[in-house]
Amino acid sequence: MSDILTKIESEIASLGTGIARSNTGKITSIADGVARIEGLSKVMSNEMIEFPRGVYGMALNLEEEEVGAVLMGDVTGLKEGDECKTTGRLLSVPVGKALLGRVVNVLGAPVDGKGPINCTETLPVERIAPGILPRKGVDQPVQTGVMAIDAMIPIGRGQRELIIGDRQTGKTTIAIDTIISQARINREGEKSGDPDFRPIYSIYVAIGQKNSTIARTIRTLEKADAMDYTIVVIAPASENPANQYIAPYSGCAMGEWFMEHGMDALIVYDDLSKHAVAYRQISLILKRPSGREAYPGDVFYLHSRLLERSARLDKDNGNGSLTALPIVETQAGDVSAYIPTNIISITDGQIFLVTDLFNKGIRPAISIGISVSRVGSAAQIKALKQVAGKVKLQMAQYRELEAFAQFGSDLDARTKATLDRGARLVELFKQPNGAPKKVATQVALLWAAQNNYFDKIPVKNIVAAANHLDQYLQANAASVLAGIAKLKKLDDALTAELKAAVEGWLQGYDVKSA
Amino acid sequence: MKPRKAKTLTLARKLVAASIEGGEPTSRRVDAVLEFLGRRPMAERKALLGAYLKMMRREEALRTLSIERAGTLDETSRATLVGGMGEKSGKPLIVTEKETPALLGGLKVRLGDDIYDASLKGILDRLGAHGNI
Repeated sequence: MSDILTKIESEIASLGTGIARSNTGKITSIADGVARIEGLSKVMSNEMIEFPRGVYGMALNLEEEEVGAVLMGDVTGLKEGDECKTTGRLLSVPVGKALLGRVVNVLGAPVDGKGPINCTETLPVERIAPGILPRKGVDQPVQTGVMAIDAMIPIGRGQRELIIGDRQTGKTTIAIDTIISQARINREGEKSGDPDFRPIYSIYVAIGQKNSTIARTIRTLEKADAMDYTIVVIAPASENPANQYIAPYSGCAMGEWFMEHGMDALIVYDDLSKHAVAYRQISLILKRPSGREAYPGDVFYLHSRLLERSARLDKDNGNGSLTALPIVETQAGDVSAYIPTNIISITDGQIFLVTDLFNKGIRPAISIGISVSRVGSAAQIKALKQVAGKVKLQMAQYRELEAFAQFGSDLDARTKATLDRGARLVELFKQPNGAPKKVATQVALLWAAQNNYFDKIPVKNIVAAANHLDQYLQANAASVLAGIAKLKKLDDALTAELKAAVEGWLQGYDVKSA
Repeated sequence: MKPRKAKTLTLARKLVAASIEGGEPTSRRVDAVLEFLGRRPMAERKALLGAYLKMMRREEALRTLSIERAGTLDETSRATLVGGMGEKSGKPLIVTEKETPALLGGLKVRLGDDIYDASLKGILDRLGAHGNI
């Protein structure tokens, strides 16, 4: 027996694990998800610290006499005097395609009950953003499927586009519809066998939300078959503020893996207002100096270092991209508040959602006048540029003249025409949630509107007419839609075909029908 | 102006440095420090004494080499270990030894905040954490 034991011992010894050195400390106080630790003389900033019972933390405050660390996980078993030790590594999360279709927590551990995730790689959650030289200009579109956005506020791969508005204005809906639209495009693209097709993988980061809301969102994605291309990272309101603080960075690390491996990814941060509040809570507990609205002085850096990690890389660096859709909630429409203005100054554009428009039934409730995409038509396919180029101007003119709409009979013909066209465009851009439109359909509808085919249809019937036209084209002119999708522009031949199809539809359509 | 707590800590640190003679705290110097503290206003004295005590305990921990072993440790190995750790810390060390059968084999050495784990239990735990067993 002793021979056997000696054999096993020498086998173990030969594995070369050597001597392990760790730096330890003792918890002196623990409150609200933050531990103050005495010792840990060699801990590094942002280093992962191991606590008893499988709890991990991150060293945030390195002071002369003690270390302040935020805790992740269930801290109820920890007490003063417990020993903790450094791990010698930064907080990292598993990354890779194995995460697609899964719901994970901020440490990348699955929480959906579907078993372990086989990831072979990890990336630190805190990373330096790509520099200037590896980047390339944004010139490929992200088709959100929301016609108002794709036509007038186009988003490109690698762009950061903020979605901002009051509570219950449809911010998350736009993000989820974008994810669903991408999943559908991915499926069709993979089915077509096009070697140049590049799918977009999505990451949805839920920060500080109710568990019921997160569950509903996941169900929506599952129903739309979008989960196969999506990773959901959750840090609900019931978790530590440290989890809510780390969640966006964890999601970003997962997205960066796709970007650095030559693929395209889209990440939604829902929402960064709650993220800022969680960081404020941690900072106040760590006794960091507070500034405006009690936020710590580096709250801008909190978001800038996150959003700068979204980029489009050039060919030499894989040609991948990470597109970010951060969401910010305003109070009473105040877009000049602290956190919203910070993030507006960081992002490459914003989509404003307004409660008044939502209540009037204009959904998505996008305020076109104050929404912008700084990338602009560089991220639009030519076909959409051709039909939607003037739409924003027409909508602006309509808004200016809208107050005069009540004087319908006393207006000159030109003003009336502007009002008629604007009102029809407003109706055309209405879209139910969970129903993203393909880009070919958007091109066809906008072409029909710009070429006066909806002018004889009463304004209140425009939505129904557009749906009818969409169905008609799919049933009777699918080749036209396929041609637009393939060619990505409207040449003379395609325009003639589209014209014939739309005229055919109008002939058989009862313009007075609801 | 420095906050009061930072001033207290700075002064306590200086007092700890003043307590050390020949590389270690001496009774004579500590008495001198305590006499100095006795002349401070009462409100300040309590905070200073508390900080001074905490730092002196830490100083003691940095000089204490605690050796946990599963079996016996021969004199030569002990001397090499103590000498090496003393050279590393640059201070004269207080050595404590304890037999801990739970280590299974090898030893575990602690100096200040640093733990050097060369025990069989530690190796098995690390292997288990990496999923090798």
